[in-house]
Amino acid sequence: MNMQDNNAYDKPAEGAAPGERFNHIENPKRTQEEMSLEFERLTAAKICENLAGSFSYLFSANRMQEVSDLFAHTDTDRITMPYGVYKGADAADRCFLRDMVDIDDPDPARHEELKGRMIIPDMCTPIVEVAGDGKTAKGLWNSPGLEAHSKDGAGQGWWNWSKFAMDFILTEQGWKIWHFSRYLYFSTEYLKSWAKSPKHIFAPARLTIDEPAPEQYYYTPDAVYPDEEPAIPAPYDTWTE
Amino acid sequence: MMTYEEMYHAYQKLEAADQIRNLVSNYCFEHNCALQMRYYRNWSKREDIRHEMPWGNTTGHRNLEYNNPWHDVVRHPDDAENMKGGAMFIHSTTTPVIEVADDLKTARAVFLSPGFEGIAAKKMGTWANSKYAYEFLFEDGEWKVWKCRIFPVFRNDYFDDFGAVAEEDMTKKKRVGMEDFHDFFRYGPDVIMPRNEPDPPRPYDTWEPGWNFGTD
Amino acid sequence: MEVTPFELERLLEKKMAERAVQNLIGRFCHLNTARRDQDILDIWSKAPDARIEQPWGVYDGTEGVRRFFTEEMPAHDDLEARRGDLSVDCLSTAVIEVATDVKTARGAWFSQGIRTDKKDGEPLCRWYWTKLAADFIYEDGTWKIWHMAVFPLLEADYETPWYEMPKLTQEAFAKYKADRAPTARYLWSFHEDNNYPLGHPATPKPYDNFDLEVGYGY
Repeated sequence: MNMQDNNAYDKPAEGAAPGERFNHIENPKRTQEEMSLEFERLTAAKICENLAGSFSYLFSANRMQEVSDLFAHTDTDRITMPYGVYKGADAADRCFLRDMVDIDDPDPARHEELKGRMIIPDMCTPIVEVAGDGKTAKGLWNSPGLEAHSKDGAGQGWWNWSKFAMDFILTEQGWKIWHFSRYLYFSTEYLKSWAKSPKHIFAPARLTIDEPAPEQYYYTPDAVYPDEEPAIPAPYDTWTE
Repeated sequence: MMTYEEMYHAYQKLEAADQIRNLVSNYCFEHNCALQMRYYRNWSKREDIRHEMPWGNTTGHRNLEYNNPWHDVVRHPDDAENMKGGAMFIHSTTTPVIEVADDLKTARAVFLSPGFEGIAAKKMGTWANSKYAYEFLFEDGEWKVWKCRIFPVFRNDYFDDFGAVAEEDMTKKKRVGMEDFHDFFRYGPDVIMPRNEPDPPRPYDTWEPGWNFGTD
Repeated sequence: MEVTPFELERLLEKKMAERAVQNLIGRFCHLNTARRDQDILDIWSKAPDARIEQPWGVYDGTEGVRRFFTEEMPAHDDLEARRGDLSVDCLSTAVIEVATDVKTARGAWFSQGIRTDKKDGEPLCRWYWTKLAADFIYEDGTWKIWHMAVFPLLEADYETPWYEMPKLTQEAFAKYKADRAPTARYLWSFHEDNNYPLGHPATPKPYDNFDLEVGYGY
């Protein structure tokens, strides 16, 4: 589009064709390149929200191959679960496929682990900050989630409130989850409050973690909630960590 | 760098997703104070609109109206009396995945819905968690609901652990206008979570059948 | 294309504002959980009519907002009060409208929340679901929270089901000292004496400019 066509500044009304704009119209403040980048950033934020949401549905359905496909699979991938840390290009494969169990896992013994497992992580209070350069993004969600597992033939539920912090990166395959961390507020047995329920951190039967989980807040009547666990995403220009 | 036309297209997709979010959220706010009959103005005028609830499925407008089981707990705008007794429904929408078709004619969305339903005067109340899946049409300059399915997760009284109580089978209640029923998930210690309740939508160019909330 | 690049940029700014406002209310929730009162004040408007409304009353201006977060709620540096304190709000069901002039915005949310108060020295764990309504204003080059109102929705002490909870009355809030009475027409609680009110809050509709005569729906 030729910008000059819109600046009919000197065109008198009499000479205008019907419907043609003849009044002075300002130029945008931003250049075309700047506007394009802003639209890309806004679109990226929506895509990242959809990635976080898709993670929730696919994870609940034990579609772990597809969960792994949401990740970037770079050497700097990192997944921090309350029970341990996975690092590297195969972090997502180990965390979700090898440890969590995929719904299509051919091993019947592994498939048994899925019976009675209901984990639903809601994603609320979305914060998504896309870098000024449009190449990475930081996200944070509050999650009033829940879990149920079977034990001795019966089901047991927990209210499982946590935060999900995700960094995203633009790859050749599109936007992907890059770093993923889950921080628990509490995981309370259904019939007991978080002040009275024993600490509960679900972990799959098989663990191929690289490191133990870092020290993190978990509700106790003596605990003081930390300032930045994690840091709240703020506008930033380019990834520097 | 995008052309201005491409940027405008990007804007239209962003705006569509925001309008759809607002539409669904507004329904939740209205349902919260029992104004859910306003829901009908959110629907497309097409006769192939489809409403799929745990208690049955309907096609078309007439049966849509019958499909609301809380028919008798609906507030008339001029009369607040039938809300006596502390009746309240809460159906929130979290975890959105909203995909607008590239051709801007249709959209798909899924939500989780933690909720509550109760009537204080009857000492009745349950947590009521479910999930929504929608298809939308852009019709006469507005986004409208085309198809909607609710997937129940659980409905349990306060002291009933949702891990120990399966949702009642609502298909046992016969309702006017129900055409058919679909099986739905009910938690149990031997149950594996369903694959497609719902299937989160993927980016798409133009609508084609087959998504159907992922239950095909 | 139906719009000029100039108009397209206005639409761009509206979408940027919507994203900024979502991020801002999310930031508020996390700061509130951490009782970071000074940081909350930094994201609040300095306009003389800035305010926060709780079910028991309104706190007006920067001073009122400050007093609410530092004196009515546990202050950040009061570690003793904060031991065992956990207050979380999970916002969902957003209705957000940015004014056409991109100078103000409005939002309404459901909030699935919890509160952990102290009773007789022991933690009192509560479900604390509310609805939140807020106006936002573009001030000094950034978006700020301008007005906020909290509407009770559903409460239950952990060992007491919702339908056994006492009816909320203003007497229950006697310990709080707001600047003035609430503007909300109805104090709702899930109790047989109550009729669920309309509005509470009304959700925002598309609008051009913020009109103080009309205000916001609540």
